[in-house]
Amino acid sequence: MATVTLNRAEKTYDNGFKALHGIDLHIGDGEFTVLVGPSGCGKSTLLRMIAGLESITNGEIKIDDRVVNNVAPADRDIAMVFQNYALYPHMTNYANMAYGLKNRGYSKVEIDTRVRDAAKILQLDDYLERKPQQLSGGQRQRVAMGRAIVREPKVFLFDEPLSNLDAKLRVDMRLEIKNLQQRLGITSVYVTHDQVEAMTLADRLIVMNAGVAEQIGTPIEIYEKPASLFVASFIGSPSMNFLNGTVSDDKSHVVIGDGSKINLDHQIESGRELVVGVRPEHFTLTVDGSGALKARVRMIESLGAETLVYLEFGEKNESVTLRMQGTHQFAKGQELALATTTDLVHLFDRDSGKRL
Amino acid sequence: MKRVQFGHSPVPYFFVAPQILIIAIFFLWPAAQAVYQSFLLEDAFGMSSQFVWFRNFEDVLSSSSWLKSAIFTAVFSFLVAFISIAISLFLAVRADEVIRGAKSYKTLLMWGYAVAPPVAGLLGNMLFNPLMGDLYKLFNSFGFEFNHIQNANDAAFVVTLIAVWKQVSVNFIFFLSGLQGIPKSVTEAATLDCKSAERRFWTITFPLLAPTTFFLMVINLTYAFFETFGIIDVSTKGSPGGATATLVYKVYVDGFLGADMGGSSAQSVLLMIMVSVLTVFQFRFIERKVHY
Repeated sequence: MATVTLNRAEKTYDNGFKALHGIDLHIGDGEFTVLVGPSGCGKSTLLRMIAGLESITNGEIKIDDRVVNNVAPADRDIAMVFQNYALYPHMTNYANMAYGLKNRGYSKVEIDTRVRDAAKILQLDDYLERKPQQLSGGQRQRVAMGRAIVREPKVFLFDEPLSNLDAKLRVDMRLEIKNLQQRLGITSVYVTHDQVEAMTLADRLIVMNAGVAEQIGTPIEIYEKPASLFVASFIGSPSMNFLNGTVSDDKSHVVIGDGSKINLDHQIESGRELVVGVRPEHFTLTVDGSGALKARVRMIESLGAETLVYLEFGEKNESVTLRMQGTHQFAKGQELALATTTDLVHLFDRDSGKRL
Repeated sequence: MKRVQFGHSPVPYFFVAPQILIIAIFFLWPAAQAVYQSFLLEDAFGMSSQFVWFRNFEDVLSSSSWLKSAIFTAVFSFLVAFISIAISLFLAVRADEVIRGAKSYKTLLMWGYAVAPPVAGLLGNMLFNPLMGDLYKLFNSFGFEFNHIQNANDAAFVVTLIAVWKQVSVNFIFFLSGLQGIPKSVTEAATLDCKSAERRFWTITFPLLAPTTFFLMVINLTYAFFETFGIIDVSTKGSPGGATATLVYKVYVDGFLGADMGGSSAQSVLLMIMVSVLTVFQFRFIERKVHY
């Protein structure tokens, strides 16, 4: 049971590269926080700083009320699950799980109870005497989780733990992790670049970009009200459509592309240039052709449950994506009229990329 | 079992022929000769010889000088292997931690590898020369009555020192690459699980280096047995009184300098048997424990 607090946490590497530009963050007791972002955004660095594997250049990191900036990793009472499992290959799975407890001076009986309990939870009972090489990827990752669980740490840290697993296993393990975390109620920080993992696991999501936390919020908040163009494009698949436009004289709509209009309920000065964001699932087809946007079909992807339609519009052939439930057939080049609802439209400043 | 049958083409045999020829000429034939000669008693000029069954072996095994040499070889080999492995492991671990100027350290530590054993022996000779050797003067200035020309232990010390120095760089290279083969995340996981760096080394790093250590042990024992010949021949020549003559050196001295071909051959046959037994022992009993 613990909280993690970061105050203006900064990281500058020896070569002068500034990986983190002052992160402020408070992770509540038992909260599952997910750090998500593209590679190189600093999410792993942040996690490793909490773990103590990277030093902190400026600011402070607190676990509960204790500043841990200079505390050795083993003394921070955290446990970490690594992407490539990082199991000790020369030890049995039992010894792998027991190692951290043994070094902390737990009694043999206590260690045995904890390891066997964890093994039961993770369905590893039959594999304890084997070595990691004799297990499949999913089982190895479970041993790595077991190694973290037996410690009963204050904080769990996950560094892309599912990236090395195949797609099916990844979904199963995702559910398992979520289940386990809810059951144990241990404060967790989870790093991933996979937005599905991020959306499904997180109590709170932190979208990072270039060493800055772009937005912090619940997954739904971030989906519904992305704070910037970056967040809007990163969360949601396929990515949100961005259309350059200008606010009309009467402030009632935005004119985009070749004169199509998207209605507006914000109070924005006329003539202002901005970016309109519409998620592919928030476009609808209008039958009578009175829609705001007329676009030509370029390509279709049928996924069974849904259909992705890639279209282009205007003289500059700007692209726009439409996501429809069920299966649909369109001819290439066919013109479709797209409409959307005012409250599902996101507006961003064209220069700063910030949400208006 | 279903066996895959390949068409028999003579071409592969042509490819391996040079290697087989080399092994046959430089190993199998001399070895066979040694076995054959070990049963013969030859006169000093090689004019006549007589088949004497195991008399050469009896002579060798009952001679005190051979026993002395065997004991010296065992102790010497163990010390050379153990000390050079220990030193190079220590150096490799430290060099692996260095961040600034790591390349220069590593290059300098590997340099010794380029020195041939006789050259190492020559260097040792100069350092321990009673007239101008720096180490000779240094030891004596500390009050040791160091004299490797007369004192057997001192002579053994000199030979061991040179042999270890020569071998450290080879071991260093292997240990360094072994250390770099340990995944970073495993070391990191260990820092979360164990606070004491020393304990981490003995419970994680060292066991993970065990296959490397085993390999080096085999290599180093072989080195101490055979390759130190050059060092011994240039530095002490087995003196004083055969105290620093390894079995291999004694084979050379008795056979080529003493012209006792039969006895020398018997010694080398014994040596072959000993090395075979040692190798089998290493692979049967130790290798099993080191591979994870």
